[in-house]
Amino acid sequence: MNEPMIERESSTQNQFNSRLPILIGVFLTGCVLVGFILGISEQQEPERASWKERPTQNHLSKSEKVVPLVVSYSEIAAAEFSKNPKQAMHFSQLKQQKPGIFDPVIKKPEMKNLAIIDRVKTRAFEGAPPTIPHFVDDVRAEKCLVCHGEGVQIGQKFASKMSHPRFTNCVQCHVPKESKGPFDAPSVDAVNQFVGVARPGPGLRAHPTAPPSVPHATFMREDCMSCHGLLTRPGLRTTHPWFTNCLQCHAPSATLDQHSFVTLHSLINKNRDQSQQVSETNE
Amino acid sequence: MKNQQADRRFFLKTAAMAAATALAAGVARSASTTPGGDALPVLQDVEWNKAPCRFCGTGCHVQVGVKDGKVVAVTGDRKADVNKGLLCVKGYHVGMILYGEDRLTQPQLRVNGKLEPISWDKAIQIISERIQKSPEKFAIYGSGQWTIPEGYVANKFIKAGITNNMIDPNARLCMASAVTGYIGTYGVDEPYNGFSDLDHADCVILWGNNLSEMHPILFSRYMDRKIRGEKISLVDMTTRWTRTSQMADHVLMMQPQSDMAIANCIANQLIANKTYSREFVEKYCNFRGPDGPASLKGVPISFDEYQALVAEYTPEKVSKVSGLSVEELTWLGKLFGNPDIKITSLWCMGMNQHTQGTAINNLVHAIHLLSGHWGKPGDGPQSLTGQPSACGTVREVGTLAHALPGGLLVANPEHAAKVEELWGLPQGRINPKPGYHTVQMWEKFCSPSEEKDSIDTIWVQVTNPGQTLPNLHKLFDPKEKLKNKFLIVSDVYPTATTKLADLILPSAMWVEKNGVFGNSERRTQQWFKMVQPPGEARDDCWQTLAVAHQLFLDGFAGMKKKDGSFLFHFEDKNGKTVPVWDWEKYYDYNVDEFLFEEYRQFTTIKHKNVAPYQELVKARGMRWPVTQDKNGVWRDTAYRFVEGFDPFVEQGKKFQFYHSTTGDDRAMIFFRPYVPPPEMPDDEYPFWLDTGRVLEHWHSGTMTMRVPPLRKAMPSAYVEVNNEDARKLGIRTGDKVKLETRRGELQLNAWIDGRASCPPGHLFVPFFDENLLINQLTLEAHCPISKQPDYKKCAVRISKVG
Repeated sequence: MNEPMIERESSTQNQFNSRLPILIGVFLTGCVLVGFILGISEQQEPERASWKERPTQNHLSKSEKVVPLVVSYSEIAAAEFSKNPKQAMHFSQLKQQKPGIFDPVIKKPEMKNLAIIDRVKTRAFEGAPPTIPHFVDDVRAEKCLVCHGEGVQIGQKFASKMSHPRFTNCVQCHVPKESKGPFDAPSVDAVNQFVGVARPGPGLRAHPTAPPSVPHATFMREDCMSCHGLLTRPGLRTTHPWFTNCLQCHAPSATLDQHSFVTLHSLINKNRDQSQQVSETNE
Repeated sequence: MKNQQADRRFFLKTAAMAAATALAAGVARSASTTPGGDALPVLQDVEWNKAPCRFCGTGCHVQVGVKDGKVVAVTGDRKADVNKGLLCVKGYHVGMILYGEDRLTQPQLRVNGKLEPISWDKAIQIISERIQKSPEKFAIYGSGQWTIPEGYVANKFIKAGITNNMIDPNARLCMASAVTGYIGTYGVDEPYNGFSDLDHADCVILWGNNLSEMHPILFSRYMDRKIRGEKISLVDMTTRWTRTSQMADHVLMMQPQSDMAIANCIANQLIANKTYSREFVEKYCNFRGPDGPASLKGVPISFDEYQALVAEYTPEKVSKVSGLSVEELTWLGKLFGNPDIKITSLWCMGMNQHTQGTAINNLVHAIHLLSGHWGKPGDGPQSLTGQPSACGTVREVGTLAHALPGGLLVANPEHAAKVEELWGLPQGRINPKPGYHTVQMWEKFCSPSEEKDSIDTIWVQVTNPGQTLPNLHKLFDPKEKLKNKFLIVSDVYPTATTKLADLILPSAMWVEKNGVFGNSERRTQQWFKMVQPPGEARDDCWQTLAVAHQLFLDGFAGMKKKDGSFLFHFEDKNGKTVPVWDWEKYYDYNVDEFLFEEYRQFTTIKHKNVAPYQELVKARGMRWPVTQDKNGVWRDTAYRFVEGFDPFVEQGKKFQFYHSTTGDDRAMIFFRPYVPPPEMPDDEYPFWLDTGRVLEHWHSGTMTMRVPPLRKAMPSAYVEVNNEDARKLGIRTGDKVKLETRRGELQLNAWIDGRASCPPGHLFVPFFDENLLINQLTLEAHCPISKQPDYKKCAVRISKVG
């Protein structure tokens, strides 16, 4: 592909004109050949080796390839096995049971209760980033997104869709609920008397059939379908998944979204009152 | 006023739009009893207020949700410039640090080895008697977690009251080298730039900084641009493969301490390839060489001399020391030689906790100045800090053994005179002799009382030296066996330090008190008290003021001003004395505001003008210098020394280093030679030992180890072992191993390629676990200029137990 280009530069215009059909022919043949070779050699993009196995000496070195060491027979009993990084099968490729958008939604109060109680298990308080209820081998975002990018349901197990935009450092906020490290068990649990708000609470309704307002912040929860879509706890699902503009009927809270037009904090006012009080009493 | 009102107004509007009825509000109330998780507390009626996060120096703002006098929720503050509504896992759970079950709630005195509860009056009495017995042997050991008013009070208490200058903070262990680096290069401390550099840089270079775990919000700020497809790259110069390396474009695995050789190698290439910025250097820089290892300001050298000094740092030679390939080093040289890209260098403990900390700080500034990668948004060097107010309280208030508020020095007679004037002290009150720096202070505390220059009483506030000092067997543990040593600890939980304390004072923390912090981009941040501290816990600021007043009542001369009034005499609007020592009336006033406004006078002396307290109340932090524009609006400064940003730069100067050590508005390009570390692996101790933090825990874990989600994710310390090394030593993940240095030994569980991966010959242990004190093994060798010890490298051996 390069050769004709070089030749074109070095040739005179005249020669160039006379050789133009040949050049085009060579160029097209080249394209076809390259395309063919690329076509037959194209494979599914191989999975990168786990980051822990990447070479640590030189980022510019050509010898990137590292073959993971196989556990020797004598070590099998004590070896720590984890997922084969070359394994192509994903959780997301298993048969899914995603409900259809027009499937009837059955909702009972006790289902909602169960859902709320289930949510609390992985959250210190309403609004805290949920902890990860499973082991994590690989903390790269693309790994998390395999399931949490669009959400997955297999049997009764759900992997929720992310509620917020794609940030790439998932474990910065979401930490494993139980650690997989080599820690002595049982470690003493931290005893903490913090009692947080556990749920947003029911949204306010103007009258019994009015759409409830959104009782929680929508910041970091831009995607309503994460918790209210089809792939989530049945008790929290929307009964009308075919409507797509949720906020058209369910009004969010300006205060919780921090769009509050009240610019002064309550404590600032208190502080002012306080200083007035002081001067009044002094007077 | 309740914020809920705005909510309700919004709701009502919507309700009216949907189906307006006059009874809307009434119906809404009855509808709120919809079934579902009924027993659980809801978000309604939570009152929200701003506060900076309690943890690192990034200084994210949080919104703290309070209901019935308790913190019930925390969320990111969307109005905050620093974090724009995002937080890290520690930040989201910061509210829980108040509610660990073993909060200290009562002053306790050790009597015959046992702690007994005593009253506050008694405790204050004991401290003041102890001070009066031998004031020269009394010291305060503070912290970069002190609020600005707390640090200001402690500093004034020592510098003006006790006058032995024996006050030093844990920040000495954390960013002292950055301070001396800035002073050496620019003549005045603190970064000229800020986090907004991350919004403009084309290339971010991390000098030994695991940004992804230690400053996650800044890392997010970088990654956000990356995933939007912007052309921005991350160079991770590191000694171990971390989560940051995983997402970096270039990972340069270097040998410990070789950062100095690498920086000089870059300088050498810039000159050899003629890719340095001649214009910038000629207009804005002078060259400096050291005249000894402890030379802060150096001696003048010519460009030719500088060229000759860096000439020996060829990529070939440096490659041998650094472990980087010649290819990598020339790539770095070319990177800095490219004037068309914007380079942001960031560093934290990797460069600061370094026996050549000042030198490496100078060198990184030097290559930025030399290459002209300086002063444009996104183009410059910036040090980060690990504590929420290391900058605000330590560097600006000057809670260091040699410093006075506002960047002034005890040893400078003019500075001392100015301070005496502002504090209303008699002439000559300020003692020109600096007190002990941290390592010295604890050495003197751990030496017999009979020695004339020993320290007998230390009052520790807001920090945990029993866990965080290096070489604990030498600098902390001997206290236990020594006579006439008295350790006072103000803290919120029992710690490794309170184990040896003679008097424990329960403190209020974070939103249990008013406060002001200063983050690492010069941003001063204010918050109000939101909840009551538990039991008898009280503000650290009040504790110091109460002792000062007791001393004043007892006739202690230092606690009197020239006119005989109390050192901390304040008057309210009506001229009535504010009883700052009286806890019952403490929150009738905003004592913080009085203190901050007094302190503010000092900040204008060196162009570090902080904003008035009431301006800070309205803002999510303001970066000093904060000045009033012609319309009377207070404006903060994104870039110092840069025309168009910094109000103190004269028109037409473009860049003006108005605190230049040479007095000609120029910055110093330093040459500092590579100096090998004081202890290196040998046959006896063949491994490198590195220590540091992990994402989930903050410093000594006093707070984060009491937060269940954080503790469950990372319940204890471990030692990170390289895979190959482990194979050779027959160590598997989970095996108990023994680490030994010349100073101590410790047994830990091994983790092969755990949270991160060490290269062969290196080990890493986090320091957050109070049951596994890695600092029993670390080295107290420190930078000759900044006196900051090196926690990042010492020689260790490892063996399998059993």
